[in-house]
Amino acid sequence: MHNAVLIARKEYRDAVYSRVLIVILLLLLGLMVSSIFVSSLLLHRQISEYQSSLITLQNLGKAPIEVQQVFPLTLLRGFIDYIEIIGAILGILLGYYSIAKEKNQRTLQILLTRPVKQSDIFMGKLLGNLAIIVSVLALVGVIAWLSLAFIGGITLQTSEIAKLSLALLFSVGYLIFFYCLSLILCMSVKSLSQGLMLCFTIWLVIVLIIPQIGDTMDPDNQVPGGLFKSMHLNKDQEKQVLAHFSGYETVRNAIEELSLTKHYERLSFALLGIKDVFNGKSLVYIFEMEWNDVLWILGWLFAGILASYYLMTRRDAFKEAKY
Amino acid sequence: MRSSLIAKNEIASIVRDKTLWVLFAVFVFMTLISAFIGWSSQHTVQEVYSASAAQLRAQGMDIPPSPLADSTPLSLDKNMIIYTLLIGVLMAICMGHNAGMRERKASVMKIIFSRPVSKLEFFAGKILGLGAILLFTMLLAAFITTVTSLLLTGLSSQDLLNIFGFYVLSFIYLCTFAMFGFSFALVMSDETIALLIPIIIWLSFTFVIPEFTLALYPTGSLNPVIPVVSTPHEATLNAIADIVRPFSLVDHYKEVEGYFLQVSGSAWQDQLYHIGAILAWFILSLAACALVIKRFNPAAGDLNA
Repeated sequence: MHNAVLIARKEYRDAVYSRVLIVILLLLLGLMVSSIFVSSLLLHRQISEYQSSLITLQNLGKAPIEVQQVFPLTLLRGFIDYIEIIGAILGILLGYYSIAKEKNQRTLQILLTRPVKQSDIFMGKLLGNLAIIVSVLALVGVIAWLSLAFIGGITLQTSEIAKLSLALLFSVGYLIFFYCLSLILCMSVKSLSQGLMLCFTIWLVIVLIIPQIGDTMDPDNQVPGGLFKSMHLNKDQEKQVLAHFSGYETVRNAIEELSLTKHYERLSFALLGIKDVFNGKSLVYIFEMEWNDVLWILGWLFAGILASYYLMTRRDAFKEAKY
Repeated sequence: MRSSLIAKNEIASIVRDKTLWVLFAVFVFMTLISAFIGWSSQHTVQEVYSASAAQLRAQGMDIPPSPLADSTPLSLDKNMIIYTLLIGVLMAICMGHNAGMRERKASVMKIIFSRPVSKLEFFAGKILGLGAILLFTMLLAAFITTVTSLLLTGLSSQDLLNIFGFYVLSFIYLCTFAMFGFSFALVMSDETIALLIPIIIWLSFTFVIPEFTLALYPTGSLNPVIPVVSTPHEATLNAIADIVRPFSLVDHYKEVEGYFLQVSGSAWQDQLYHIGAILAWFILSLAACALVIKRFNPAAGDLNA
């Protein structure tokens, strides 16, 4: 275990000094702040429109319309989208560099002449990169919090901070999966650049293509502004209509279930109240409704960790000519 | 003459690359099922509309017109806009990257240029090879789109012309990104950074800039249906959008391709500005590539020189 901790420290130090990872981190932070900025501007616009219509109604002597509640965590939708897309790339690059530096400097053979087990190398790399991902997401979370306060003028309640922290915790699992995927491909493929390109191809399918197919098959997304809105149907009527299309909805849902990103998105949107039905709900309620997505995320994560563990602890894992 | 030999070699190298085959296979598969996805969703939307209309009728309420009343056969293929923006561009970047990096990585630049071949001939051959593969991909996609659309709905001669226009523009769009991949592969000394920079440029064009021009959430850019509100209606965002919009390559591409696939109802005159912007980016990428080639030093060009 001591060896694993030493390797983990080395991984962490290497990442801190890596220009590429710093650039990706800065990109993630910049995009997140810009997304909160855009969302805040739109929210302020909505609030001022609401207030002006309230004044108009008061002047006309009519009863005020329903009070508009503000759910600050909904401003983080773009933030979750960027973790889905750019965060996954960060995970891929961490996995790539974990293997690339050993392959390029031929250090693994030297390491294995010392009393270090292959499982220590795997654990060390996993722990080190876990620490990097936790640090990055903690920083991202703090910046999101500060952006909400300074750009959006919003102070988060304790329950909202807890929900944001949980969303970040599942983000760690999401990024670790992509780290493992990259580790597996870069270990298995002879050329590192081919491994990286394959990773980007799988990333494209999991993160963008499968969710896109699911979204496109959603009848409500087929009409600008939403089909049910254009028909002036409320949520209950929408459910009644969709009940007639359960077969189609099952197929659409099954396609979406194939994507880890979709599970991560559903859970994060529920935790942050981006999906209206979860606004202001307790964590117990959210997990009762979203246990399926939690299980899928954990399943993908453990599958990724087990597969990379198996690959890195095989007897011939580091003996081939590719090293 | 030597350029055509180099182009043939480039084509052979691309064909041998298994990773590019995976991307190519994903692109062709998505092209194949794109029309079916479009058809099945439109079919469902029509049925959902009928069911909703029946419910409204039972409640004695007015029934709005069908949202698909004006839909056209080509609108079934609207997902191709997104698949080209995602899979097509990643494939083009990887091809461009490999074309620029292959000889540098194999440390054969000095050997190649010890032969009677000029920089212009060598790189022109590579770009020709890249262009030929991308052209073949687009022709194949156009053929698949035509056949699937014919099977599902039937096409007029105007529709065929529109499909042709769609893929010509897609070819130009993909070439722009292939040039980015190629140029960075020639300039950068780190292979990963050389691949990462064009990918970041692509992601910025696809997800970040539309956030400012259309106030779209990043994943909102994945929906080919153009939002009702094209501008954010917020003073600061409108000002930012006005500045950023001319540079938003994806917005220009989506507008023109939406016109070709009859998803948007805008006139062809409106498309000239967008086509001009896409061509300007293409010329810019070619000029950047020419500059990189001009400054490229074969003696120090190998990656481990």
